[in-house]
Amino acid sequence: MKTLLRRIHASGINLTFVAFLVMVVLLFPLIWMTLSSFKPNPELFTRPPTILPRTWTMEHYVELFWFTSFPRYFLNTFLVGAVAVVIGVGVSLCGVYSISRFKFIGAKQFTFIMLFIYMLPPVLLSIPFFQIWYSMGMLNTLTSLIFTYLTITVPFAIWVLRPYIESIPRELEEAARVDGCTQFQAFYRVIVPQSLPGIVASMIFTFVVVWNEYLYALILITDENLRTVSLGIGSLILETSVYSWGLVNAAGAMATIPILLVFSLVQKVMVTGLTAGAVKG
Amino acid sequence: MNDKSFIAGNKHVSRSRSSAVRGGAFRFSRRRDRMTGILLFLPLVALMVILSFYPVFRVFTLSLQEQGLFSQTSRFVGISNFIRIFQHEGFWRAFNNTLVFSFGGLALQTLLGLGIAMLLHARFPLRNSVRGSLLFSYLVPYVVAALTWRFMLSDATGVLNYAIRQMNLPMPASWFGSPQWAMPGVIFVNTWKNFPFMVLVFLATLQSISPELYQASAVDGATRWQAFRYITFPALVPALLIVGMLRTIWNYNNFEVVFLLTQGGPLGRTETFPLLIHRFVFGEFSMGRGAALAIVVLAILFAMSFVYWKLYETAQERLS
Repeated sequence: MKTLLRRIHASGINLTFVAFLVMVVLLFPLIWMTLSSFKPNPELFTRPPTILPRTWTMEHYVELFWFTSFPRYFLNTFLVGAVAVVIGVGVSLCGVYSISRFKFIGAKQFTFIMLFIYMLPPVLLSIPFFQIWYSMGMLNTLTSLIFTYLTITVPFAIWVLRPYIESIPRELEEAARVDGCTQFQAFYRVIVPQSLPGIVASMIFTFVVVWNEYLYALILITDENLRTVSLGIGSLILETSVYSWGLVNAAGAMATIPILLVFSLVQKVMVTGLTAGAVKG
Repeated sequence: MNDKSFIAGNKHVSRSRSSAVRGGAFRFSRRRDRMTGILLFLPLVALMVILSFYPVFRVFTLSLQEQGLFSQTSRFVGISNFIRIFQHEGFWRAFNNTLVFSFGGLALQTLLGLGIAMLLHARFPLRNSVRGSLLFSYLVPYVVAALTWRFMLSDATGVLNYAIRQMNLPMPASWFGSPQWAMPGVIFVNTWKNFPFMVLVFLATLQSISPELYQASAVDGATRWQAFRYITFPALVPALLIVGMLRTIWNYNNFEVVFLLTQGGPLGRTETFPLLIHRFVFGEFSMGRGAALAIVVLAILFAMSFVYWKLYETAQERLS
């Protein structure tokens, strides 16, 4: 018995070791990017490469925030993300509530079609979107980008919100109605506060998806001042022949760290969002 | 509130109570409630019609027309766009590339995802923080994934590039410029980016298996392999088919990985369908051919999903 316990204990330690090894290997690209963003330019080119910076420097971050348009890109992305998320989650919340409480003809098919839209190749939708926004004279506007992103945020929000709304007992609404609320009052006084965790989850999650989006921004935005962060980094790595790797790494780290921070704070919520639609329950 | 409305309110309550008893579920049958419901539903329908149904419809009409990227006039040309894309030298190459990229990525993601899910399913100290941080690569933007792999493999600065040279590995030090290694390279980066999704789903499935099953099989003298083969594996099959389908579709649709790493090169060795569509529309300015190819791509997507769905149904029948 004693040896058995010892063996379990030992295997636990070994597993931790193995897991950490796996983790370091898999996270190495991100660790490497972040560490490299603190290395001065000459050190980036030394052979053999240094792992930890020999001299730590903030010069790339200073350059990023004072001598490039990246502050603007961050602002653009934040703006587009916030509006697309608020509209997307708001519309989805009303819609999901309505579908779950009123038996419309075709409501079930409608939710199925939402899944179908989520599966369409974005590159397919990019063709008509380009054409539509072009003919309306709205290419190169953040508005067009916001509306285009609704095709991502709405299906996603629906899939995250549905289980939350459906799990709220009808007795709560019933009670509100008995107390004299109209249907709409029952919705925003009972349902909205009750599904707040789901609303927050879908908001955080769709924001991250929009923050990371690249293809639609690439197609709809050519004006340098209207770029999003992804587009800014993308053009840095595609258009410049000689990279200033320190700057690129700093931009990459700045685009990544906010997301990972948010994730670490609300890990459980994020995991539900990641698998929404893929696992039942 | 005056007396009259109070009485009216009461009446209303009693009526709905009785309907609740009759119908088994609480329902207000008043027209105003239904109107509220419709009003709440309307914005969603409107948005989806404008932002999804219409664009999809537009792809179909565009595929039958000839229209330049920046022109407002179009000409109906029937199916000639479809004929032209099937005759295009890039079509079958892109077909092969897309299949290799989708299913190669699927296989690697499944293996890595399953292995790591089984590792994380075991108990060990600090398991939760390891679980959380292993999802990081799934959360970072595609541009960051492309950036860091390009950086690690770059000639002057890359750490991986240096390691490959030092160890004399039988591969080029910079994968994405090599015709033989570009495809494995993009599949590899795609796997690194997306395997955590598999981990999440497999972990959820593994946790749903009752531990008593394993205890019982151990009592009956089953080996670990037998326990995996007859307990773990059957439980994983339905999940495997569902996420397999999702991941195949997402790999198939993926534009960012290849575009940011190789832009379809070298010599078209990594040009997949999404890149070819992008090239038709934004490189050769032909909306019609791009749309036609998009329709073909969609048809193949449907065919694949249908096969997965049939497999899933058979698996469900066999296992239940």
